[in-house]
Amino acid sequence: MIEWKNASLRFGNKEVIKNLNFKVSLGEKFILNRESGSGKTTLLKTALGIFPLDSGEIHINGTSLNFNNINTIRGMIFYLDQDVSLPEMPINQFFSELYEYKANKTSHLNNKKLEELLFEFRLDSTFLNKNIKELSGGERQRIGLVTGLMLDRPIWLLDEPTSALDKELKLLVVNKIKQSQYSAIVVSHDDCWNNL
Amino acid sequence: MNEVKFLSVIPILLLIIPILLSNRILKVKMNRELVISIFRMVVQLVFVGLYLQYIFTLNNWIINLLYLVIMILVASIHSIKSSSLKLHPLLLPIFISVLIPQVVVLLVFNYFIAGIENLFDAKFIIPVGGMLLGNCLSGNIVALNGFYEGIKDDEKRYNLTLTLGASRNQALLPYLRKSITRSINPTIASLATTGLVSLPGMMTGQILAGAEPFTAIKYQIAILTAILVAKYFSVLLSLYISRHKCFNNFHILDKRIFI
Repeated sequence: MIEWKNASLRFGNKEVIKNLNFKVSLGEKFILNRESGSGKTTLLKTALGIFPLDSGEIHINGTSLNFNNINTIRGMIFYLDQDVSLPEMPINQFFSELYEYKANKTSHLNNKKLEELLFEFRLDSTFLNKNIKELSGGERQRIGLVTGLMLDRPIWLLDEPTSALDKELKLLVVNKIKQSQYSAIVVSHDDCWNNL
Repeated sequence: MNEVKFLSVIPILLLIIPILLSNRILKVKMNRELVISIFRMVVQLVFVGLYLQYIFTLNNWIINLLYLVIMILVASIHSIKSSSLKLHPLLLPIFISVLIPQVVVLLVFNYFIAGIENLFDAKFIIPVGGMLLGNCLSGNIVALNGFYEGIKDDEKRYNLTLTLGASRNQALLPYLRKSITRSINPTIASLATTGLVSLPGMMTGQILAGAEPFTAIKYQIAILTAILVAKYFSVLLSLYISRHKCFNNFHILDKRIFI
């Protein structure tokens, strides 16, 4: 569950979020498809402490976000930005290092699950030797989504996650999210999300 | 020792005139800056010579130490400003980061290499300190600039790494590695070619002043190693200590640090 309570955020003179009260319950999915520049991406980033609120609170699974628990909170949320700005390194190294990160240390890399997910997303295992910086937008997006499914965090915040995917893959992603127990907020103008 | 009379430097200064003529013919616009820089160099060095002579005669360890601290303070201010960063939050962290390795390396140098009783002897602490500081300064500029500008330019990737579960230190590690490499690599490269491509300034100066080449070499090996050690730890400490002032409580880069 993720909830914004009386949340406000201002960038200079511009009020980006004004006294917002918004809740996505456990397992609930929400699509944000308002016009560009309306603060959708900013809203997602407030939940991760990238843009701390000027006033109000954010509750993640009942815990109020603050700087003392930021690592724990980030460990509950899977966030994917529009550009899928993953660290530039070979993909296999990325997945190994992912499980050395502070918030993921309690779990281990499941190679079998990784291979299955790569296969589902039409990426074979030789792909693991490629460097992330060599990937196309669509490949990067697929690796990003596989990362989320590997981490299996309860809350998903996705920013245009299917913009570079073909119809078949879009359907796969939508179905994965639909069938999951994740609480999800998806920022997208893509029609495929209408069926969520 | 062949004493160089002060006015005998004039012929070498006159060799600047062909450069000025050449620039004029080729329309290379640098003559004004060149003349000003030469003039500044001469005036500054004359003043340095005068007050160093006074400090060397006085040789009071408190004044020597104070002089060193002022040198470190000026170097710290210059390295922050040259890195396009604001002075206020960073002065103390950078000052401490330069001071600690500088003093430790200087004391080791004075005790083991120079073998002097007064570890704060002006004739050693000021010129050797100056050589170390000059190198720490250039190293810190490259490192601080590369580190903070690197994170700013790569902000999305840095932030996404945090959201993927990395601690601040884990997310900073790639930028730290890159900055240390960029600032220390030139020193390592120059170490590898020392004696083959060029004779270092300190060694040349000692030989010209009449020292035996082997004595000059001993000092040169010691000073080059001292430069490497002081520079490395000054860069490392600068990045480690300054990060406490440059990120908010959520580990996001505070862009107010940039000028």
